[in-house]
Amino acid sequence: MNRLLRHMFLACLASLLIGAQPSLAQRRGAGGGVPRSSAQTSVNRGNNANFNRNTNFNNNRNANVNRNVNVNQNVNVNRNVNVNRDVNVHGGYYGGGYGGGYYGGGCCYHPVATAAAVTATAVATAAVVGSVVNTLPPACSVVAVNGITYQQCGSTWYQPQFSGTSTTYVVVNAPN
Amino acid sequence: MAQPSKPTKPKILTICLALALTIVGIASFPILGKTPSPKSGTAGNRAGPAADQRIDPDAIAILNKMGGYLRSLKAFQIHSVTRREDVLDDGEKIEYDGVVDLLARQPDRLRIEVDNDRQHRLYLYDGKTFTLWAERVNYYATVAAPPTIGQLSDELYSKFGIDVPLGDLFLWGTPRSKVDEITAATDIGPSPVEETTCEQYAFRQAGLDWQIWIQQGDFPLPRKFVITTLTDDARPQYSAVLTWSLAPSFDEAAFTFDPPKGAQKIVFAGVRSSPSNER
Repeated sequence: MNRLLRHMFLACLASLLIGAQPSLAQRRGAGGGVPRSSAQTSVNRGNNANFNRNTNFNNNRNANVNRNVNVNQNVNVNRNVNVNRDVNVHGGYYGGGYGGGYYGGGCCYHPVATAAAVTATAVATAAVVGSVVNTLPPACSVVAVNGITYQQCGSTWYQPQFSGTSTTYVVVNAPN
Repeated sequence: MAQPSKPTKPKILTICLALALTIVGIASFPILGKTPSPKSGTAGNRAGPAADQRIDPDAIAILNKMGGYLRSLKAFQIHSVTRREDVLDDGEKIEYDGVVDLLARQPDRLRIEVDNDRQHRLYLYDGKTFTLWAERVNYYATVAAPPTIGQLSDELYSKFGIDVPLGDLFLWGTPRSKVDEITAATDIGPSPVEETTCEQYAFRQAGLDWQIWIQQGDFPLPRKFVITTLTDDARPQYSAVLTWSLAPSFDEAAFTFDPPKGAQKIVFAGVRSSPSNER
């Protein structure tokens, strides 16, 4: 009988919640773009989850910078902007590991939400040197300086790098 | 047009509250309410004199035997099927699957190819340099490397936050393994992996519960392991099933990087002790 009551209570709660439950997409969006943790893959190492966490955290925070730049680049679209743009975005997704695109940054799954985010953060302008993003804005070109690869996106220069095994892009001053 | 038969929310709420009160009432009578009694020796009881009693010395011994055997192998090749879980901010877990193909010639040649839902990576070590190549974006980075796989694995981890896939295979049987930090060790019993008879063991250490399936007989190889991370309430898991070849054929070119067409050289970001770009 105790059990029956519990079940009834749970059913009650469920029916109450159904009305107010946000959609999956909303939940994801509210939850931020990157996982909070990842399973450790070895038993003889220190807590490698810490590395992952730091990386994710930073990327997440700086994602806005990226979006701002996106807006600027959109203006450039007139300039012949290649289909390559998309490749870059996907590059971030595949290469970036937890790339903003996968969980909620939205390159692939929530294009509408992404557009909204871009609009909302269009106020600021330049990307901060030293900030790290998972994906490049559109309209970038590859420039090699002293054998090292850079991505020039408008007036902003990004240096691709491995953060752990993920590819990320750090905003740098224009190389000489 | 209204639906009079459908209970309104306030009504449901009232019913719920009544039920909740009833349950609380019943639960407060220990005879009627089946409140779980605390079991002795469950999780959390790590420290103290009881800890040693939870370590089966035979399980530790087989782990060390496996480590010694791994260190004795001249060369080996592994195909591994992996599953790893991420935890989203709201606690939802997402699994992603992949494969790891590893070729090692001890002590100083290593080739690992990782292909999962997120990444395709090639790790190459020829005793002098280490290269990581990201196939899909065609980026690679190269650094000078120390003279052994074990040292390489340490350095990649401490300098760049890179945990070499299946890196435990190069740490067991060395002073750098964490066998001495195990707080519980249990022999679960025989369990086949890919139709090979193995013995399954379960271990606990700070922040981790893990299980390993070690091949029975003269070749004590790890054939499967499952690692559960305890530092997140959602307890994400990683698992790997390993298929071994102890007589691989390869040549030196397997360990050297020949940049494919269009490959772009990038850099490794150093591990920061504290986030430096909080702005």
